[in-house]
Amino acid sequence: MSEVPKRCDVLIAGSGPGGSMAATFLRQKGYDVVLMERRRHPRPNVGESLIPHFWTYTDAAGVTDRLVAERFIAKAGAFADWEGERRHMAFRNYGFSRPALHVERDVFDHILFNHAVGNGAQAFEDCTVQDVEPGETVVTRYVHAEAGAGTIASRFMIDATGQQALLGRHLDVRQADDDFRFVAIWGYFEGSSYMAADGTMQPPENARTIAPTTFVTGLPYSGAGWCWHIQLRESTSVGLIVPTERIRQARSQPGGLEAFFLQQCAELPQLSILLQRARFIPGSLNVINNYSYTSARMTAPGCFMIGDASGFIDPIFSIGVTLAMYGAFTAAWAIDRSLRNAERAESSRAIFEQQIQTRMAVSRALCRPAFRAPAYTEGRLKAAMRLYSTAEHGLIRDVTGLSGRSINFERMSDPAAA
Amino acid sequence: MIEEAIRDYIVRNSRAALDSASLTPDTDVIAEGLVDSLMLLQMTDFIEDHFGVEILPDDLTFENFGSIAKITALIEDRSGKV
Ligand SMILES: Cc1cc2nc3c(=O)[nH]c(=O)nc-3n(C[C@H](O)[C@H](O)[C@H](O)COP(=O)(O)OP(=O)(O)OC[C@H]3O[C@@H](n4cnc5c(N)ncnc54)[C@H](O)[C@@H]3O)c2cc1C
Repeated sequence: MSEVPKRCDVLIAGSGPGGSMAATFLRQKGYDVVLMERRRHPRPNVGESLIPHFWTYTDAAGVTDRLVAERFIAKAGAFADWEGERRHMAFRNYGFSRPALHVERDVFDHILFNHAVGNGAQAFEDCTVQDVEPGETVVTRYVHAEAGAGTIASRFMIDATGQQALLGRHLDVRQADDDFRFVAIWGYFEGSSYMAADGTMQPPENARTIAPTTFVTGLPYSGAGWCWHIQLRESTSVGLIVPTERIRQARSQPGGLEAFFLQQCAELPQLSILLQRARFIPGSLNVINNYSYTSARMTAPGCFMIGDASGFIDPIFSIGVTLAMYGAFTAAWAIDRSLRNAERAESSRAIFEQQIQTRMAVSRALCRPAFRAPAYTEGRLKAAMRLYSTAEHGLIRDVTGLSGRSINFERMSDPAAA
Repeated sequence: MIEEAIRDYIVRNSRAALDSASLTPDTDVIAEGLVDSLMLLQMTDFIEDHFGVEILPDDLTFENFGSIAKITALIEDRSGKV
């Protein structure tokens, strides 16, 4: 193992899609990058359904070919069974020439990490960032499994620690989002059927020839709770987004959460049919409590928060990974602009803050089944929507419509642009 | 000429399918998908390097970047040519 350096241009904490892509973008611009990861790749991660927008970033990072070569499952679109209505959408109707994907995140994240290393990022796994001191020079304390505790000084720092939200907690700017008080429970099945884009049910062995959709369905006892079904290469990911109160009851019942989860899988109308011949993989159940939050600030002197470290809402639209990549791109842009012209450091940070906050505000508004924004916010949301293309407006309208959430889109969208 | 340089930049760098013959100064480059959120940042670098002006945080709007004519007006405004 090489030694952890004492200084670098940019220190990046966390190597999910956000951290690894930021490392690659900054290496492409010639900066000296250190990437620290608490765990060791490959490591499991949730968030397996990707919208086709992510290719724009992997193109820019030069990692598209590696991802294509992996032959992940191509997904055609989404299929929703929502309050008795069945609707579906296919990405190819919105001008996308490349497919969306269903990915095993251990493999996907590992490819992006290796690409950052291949581009010359100095990466350290089993290395936990403990604490960050923002400033003219950022000082970061870490503990490495072999080398022990140390500090590293950098001109800039990117917090890409995901839901750990290292800097957000440290600066006390992380705000739990009371409009989304949910728990996520998910697990994996073998032998599940899936829904194709034409609304037919297909056996698992067809996944290579007839592209699956991401199937979502609302939970009958909760307006905003829902369930996903994501066909992967060897298994199927099934998850429930359940209101916190409902989970409290479930925990106290015999069999606890696993019994609750399996019961839901057996009872939800369309899901139970897809899972009829499937086998639950023992020990594959995961839980994340109350994960929705935003951050009052997403920067501090010398520091940028990206991806889930900056905020996380409801995963209904499968945009988390793409948002993390957008954050990575924008942070790398802001750091480069600052290092090329120190007088523009402040405005670069302001542009990053504005772009990421706005993107988060738009996603949050679109996620809410019913939403009345204050006039000021509504004005900002409308201005932000004005920066999306006509094709993107059509896509957002139809995707939010799948789960009965297009009312917010209609309010925010300027008819002149739609 | 500013307008020519911006037009050229968009034709060379846009990720969306582009019929360059039909791209006029008033084409809505955002609605057409020629200028997306990445391009907005990349074009900011280009404008600053090429024309020696500074783009400010509140500048990244449809009103300033919605067409070649609008972008040209922004640059002219910043270089004090108007
Ligand atoms: C239930 C659920 C379902 C989801 N479904 C989807 C979906 O279908 N599609 C989609 O696009 N997104 C989905 N998401 C969101 C998606 O998972 C995230 O948005 C995405 O992984 C964010 O990437 P990231 O790089 O910001 O963080 P992560 O991928 O979480 O990576 C953070 C990394 O930082 C490391 N780390 C943490 N703390 C430290 C530390 N102190 N020091 C060093 N390293 C550290 C972690 O080990 C990890 O490797 C879902 C999320 C949830 C909760």
